[in-house]
Amino acid sequence: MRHWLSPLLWLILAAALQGSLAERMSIGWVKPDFLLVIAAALSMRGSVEAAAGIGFVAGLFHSALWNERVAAYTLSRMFACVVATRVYQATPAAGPWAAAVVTGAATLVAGVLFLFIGIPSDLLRWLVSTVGGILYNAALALLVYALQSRWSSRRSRDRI
Amino acid sequence: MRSSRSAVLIFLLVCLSVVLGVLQSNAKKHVEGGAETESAPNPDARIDPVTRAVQFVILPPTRALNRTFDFAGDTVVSFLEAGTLRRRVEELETTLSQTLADRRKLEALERENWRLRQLQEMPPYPQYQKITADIVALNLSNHRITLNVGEKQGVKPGAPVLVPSGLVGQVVEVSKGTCVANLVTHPRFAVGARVFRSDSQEVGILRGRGSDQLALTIYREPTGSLDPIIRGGDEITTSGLSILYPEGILIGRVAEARRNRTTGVIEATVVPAVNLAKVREVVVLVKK
Repeated sequence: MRHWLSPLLWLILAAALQGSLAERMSIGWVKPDFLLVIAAALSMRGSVEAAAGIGFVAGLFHSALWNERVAAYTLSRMFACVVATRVYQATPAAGPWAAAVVTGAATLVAGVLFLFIGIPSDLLRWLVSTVGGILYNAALALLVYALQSRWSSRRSRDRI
Repeated sequence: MRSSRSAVLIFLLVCLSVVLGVLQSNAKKHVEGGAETESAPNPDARIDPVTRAVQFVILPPTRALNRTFDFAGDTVVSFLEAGTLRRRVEELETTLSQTLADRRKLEALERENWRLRQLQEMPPYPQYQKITADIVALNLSNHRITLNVGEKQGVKPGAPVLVPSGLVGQVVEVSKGTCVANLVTHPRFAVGARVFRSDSQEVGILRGRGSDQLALTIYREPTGSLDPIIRGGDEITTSGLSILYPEGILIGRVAEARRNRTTGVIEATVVPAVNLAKVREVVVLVKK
């Protein structure tokens, strides 16, 4: 039970951050996607099934925040997380930059899928927010990776 | 085997996504007359049960974080603007004290204006010119006042000094820009006075006593009752039998009256009509 409780709690925290902090941290049309960054970080080292599940829940949370486009959010996040797993596995060396690239790729996939499933009303806005989002989320992924590494090293120390 | 399991899971999740999408759009289509749900960010949309359940989980921490960030933002802004706010408070305090001082000045001017209006609304004295003056020195123990008008304004010794409520005194010394007047209570003050009652009109001489009361002397035959001539509460005015004072200026009210049994003279104690300690502006009557 614990192996899915921890990601769920992280996703709830990410949803809370998305609902409260994303607008404050927006730069023009570009907003950080905490849910996607956390979901990608949680999926990277796991299996495809876990990534699909995490992405699905992240999409569900994201759509519930504004009560809109649940299918577009769940599908785009689910496939983005699956892609994150595959890309991470394909990267030659694990590290913060790999995490940033994986998160950027996941953001791109989520954005493109959202374009076809969710059909945004303003295409230019979608383009700017997706490209900006890739950079923003990649930068956030560096931070999350650093926190994640510290967290896991402390846990392993505690076990010893 | 594992990839087929993943494919099945993904297929199931895709199906679930589609079902959820249909549920959500159906719920939104069933909005009837703008029905509102408290937990919904969009109040015009009816929320499907799944979204409602998810919101039940994620909205409380979102609200808590929102409040925390609001508080933190406000705190940071307050901290950053503390210097500016302090300066602003100092500026406002200075402005406030200035405003209060201005207000006090304005109130004083309003009071002065009111008093001057009262002086202007005094009854006309055709033979006299009214000169408004401020009391610049008040010496109640010597029963004297100094006014800021003098020869330049045409003030002459003997001119009566009064306020709307009655006679104040008489000018005795005049310089270029000021003059000194004896108050009605001064021991050397004397004026022809009349009992202002339709069935009396007795005339006598009113003098200051050097106290807060005046003495009225009426010379009459030493017989008969006192009551038709004078009684307590009667108003005493200037008699008009004088070249200095116009007739009818209120001087005071009779406190008590008695007859001297040997001389027959009627002696009355009169309380001045004017509260001399509170007078600020006066009118000096100068003969035209």
